[in-house]
Amino acid sequence: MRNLPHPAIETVDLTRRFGDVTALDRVSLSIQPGEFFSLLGPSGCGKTTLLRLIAGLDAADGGTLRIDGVEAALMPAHQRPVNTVFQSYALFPHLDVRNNVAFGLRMKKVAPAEIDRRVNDVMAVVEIGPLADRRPSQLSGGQKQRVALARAIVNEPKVLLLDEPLAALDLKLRKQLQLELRNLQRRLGITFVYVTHDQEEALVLSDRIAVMRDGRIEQLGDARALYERPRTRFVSQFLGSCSLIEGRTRSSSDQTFVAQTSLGDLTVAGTAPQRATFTLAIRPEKIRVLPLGHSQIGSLPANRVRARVDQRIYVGSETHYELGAGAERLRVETMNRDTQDSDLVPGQDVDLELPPNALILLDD
Amino acid sequence: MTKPTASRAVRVRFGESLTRGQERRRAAATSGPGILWVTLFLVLPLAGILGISFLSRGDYGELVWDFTFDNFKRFAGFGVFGFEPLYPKIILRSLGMAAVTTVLCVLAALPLTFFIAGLQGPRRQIALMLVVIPFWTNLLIRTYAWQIVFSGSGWLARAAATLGLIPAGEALYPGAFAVFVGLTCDFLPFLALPLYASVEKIDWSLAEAASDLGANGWNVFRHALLPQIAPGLVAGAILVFIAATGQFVIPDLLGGAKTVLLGNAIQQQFGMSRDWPFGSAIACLTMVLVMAGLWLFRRTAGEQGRDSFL
Repeated sequence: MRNLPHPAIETVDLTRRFGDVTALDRVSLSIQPGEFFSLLGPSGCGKTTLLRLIAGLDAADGGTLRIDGVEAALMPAHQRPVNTVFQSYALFPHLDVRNNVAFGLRMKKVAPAEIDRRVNDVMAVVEIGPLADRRPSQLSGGQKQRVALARAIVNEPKVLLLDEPLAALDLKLRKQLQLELRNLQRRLGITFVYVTHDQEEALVLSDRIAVMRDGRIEQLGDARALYERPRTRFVSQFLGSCSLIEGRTRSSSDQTFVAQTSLGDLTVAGTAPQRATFTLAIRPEKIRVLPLGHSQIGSLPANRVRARVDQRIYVGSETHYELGAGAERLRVETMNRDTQDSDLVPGQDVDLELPPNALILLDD
Repeated sequence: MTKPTASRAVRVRFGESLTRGQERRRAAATSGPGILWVTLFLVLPLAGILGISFLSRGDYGELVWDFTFDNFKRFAGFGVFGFEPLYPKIILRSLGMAAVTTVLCVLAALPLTFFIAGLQGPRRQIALMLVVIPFWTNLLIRTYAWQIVFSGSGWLARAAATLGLIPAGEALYPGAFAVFVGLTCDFLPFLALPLYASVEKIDWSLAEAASDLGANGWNVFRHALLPQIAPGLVAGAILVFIAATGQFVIPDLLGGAKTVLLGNAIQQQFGMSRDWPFGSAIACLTMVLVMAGLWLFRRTAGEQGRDSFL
């Protein structure tokens, strides 16, 4: 990866309004060359609007956008060094696969011999060579997806924009194409900006993810940071799931503080917040179910909580539990390592351990 | 109640089972009137015209029952006084006028239909109605109205004089300008309506894709929009071309009746000249020419044509 002096995409306070609705609200971000960057959020969060602004298919109401260091506001779409893979694919129905892929190079008046060479190369890379003479109407969803991808990357854009490219495909094909996309991006070194509402897809593919909500970036970071340290309730719920526990500070020391909650007192790693009340989050797989009779075995673990099993859902590799503890609802997921049935049944009381460093202090 | 037996064929269609007799009666009741109408008023008269075109004219305009190709020879320019391309010239003039009218209608209809398709809600319906409203008035009355507009005291001529385009007091008709304005306005709806049907259904994401792939405005139109509206454009252009080929009222009234067109020629033969056989020959040959032209057009600008846009 070359270390260029300027980012591939840089936005400062980028804003777009549709009537009374602010689709994009002062978004500032910087995407590095060669990065696989995902915009993740529910529908209507502004992620597609941001993508269209970068592509030049829509114009901003305020703020700045720089592509490869160049101010883009006055650059028309057809002159931008970016290409898009559309959610609907938008393949030209009157052209066969080969001519769809060659379209961008023809528009740039590349020499015919070079067009042939590059089109053949790209069709080989995405494995659509045998489909060269077919029309889009004769292709399956996955094949159309590959053609749309080939049509974009053959132009060797600085930035490739992908608008939920896998959303229309079935799960198995989606998983396969995810891996292929990731490998392709590594191989080509092109900056990818990837719009998705599928949190798992974002986690699997991205170097960094911007979680968007109501036209703003809620949190930006790599997959591990977003998953392990969500800063808001929204991020903690949208990426995976979390149990939320309301609390107030009882005491605090250098590295830890003690939170007073309806589950009892809980030790939390980190410094105590200034606010009177706060919310703690914990991932379901981080909660440990203590074996029955554990108190007789040895020392008591910290943050031991008594809970009642409300629901048990067997999902094959794991078992998911819904539990009630104090005024809160807790979600616990355990791996099914043993072949025999675990003995937790609804209505039963059980002891849980909430490790201090698994408790996340949220900002809101 | 009789059960259908094995010997009577029973067809099941649209969830009903009919015996062959019932089916035949139903077919006669539904399709019969249409077939009868077309046979009586289109097929038989055309066959008659075709037959008459092989007869010849008697001294008093009556039909002489012989069989001759003279009418066709005369039409091609080989008359009793040697070769004189009077009628080929008339054909070329008519086809040329129809072609120019078609091009003008295409140029006018493209911006018009995109504009209408871009309107929101009831405005769109109103705009479409405005396109059709001229049909509510008789063609002759519309054409006489153009004469008033184009006359030396009409507002259009005065406006043109104010701008210094023509000398003051001069009329805009008779002349080619008035003829083509009249023809274009008269045939515009034939093109605008089928074209609008195509424009309204345009998948604009293809235009965005083309623009994203480096196509400028013209190339977006040519490669992403034109292939989508081609069906409507071709259908409308054919309608205008056919109708304009036989048109002679507007050219006569707005052009000063100085030139003869196919329509005039046919009218003359059936009217003043009382030469039905020759009139029939002109009509038949015109029809064959137009049909051959359309067949060629379909071959070149049809399925293959749309592929070769790129």
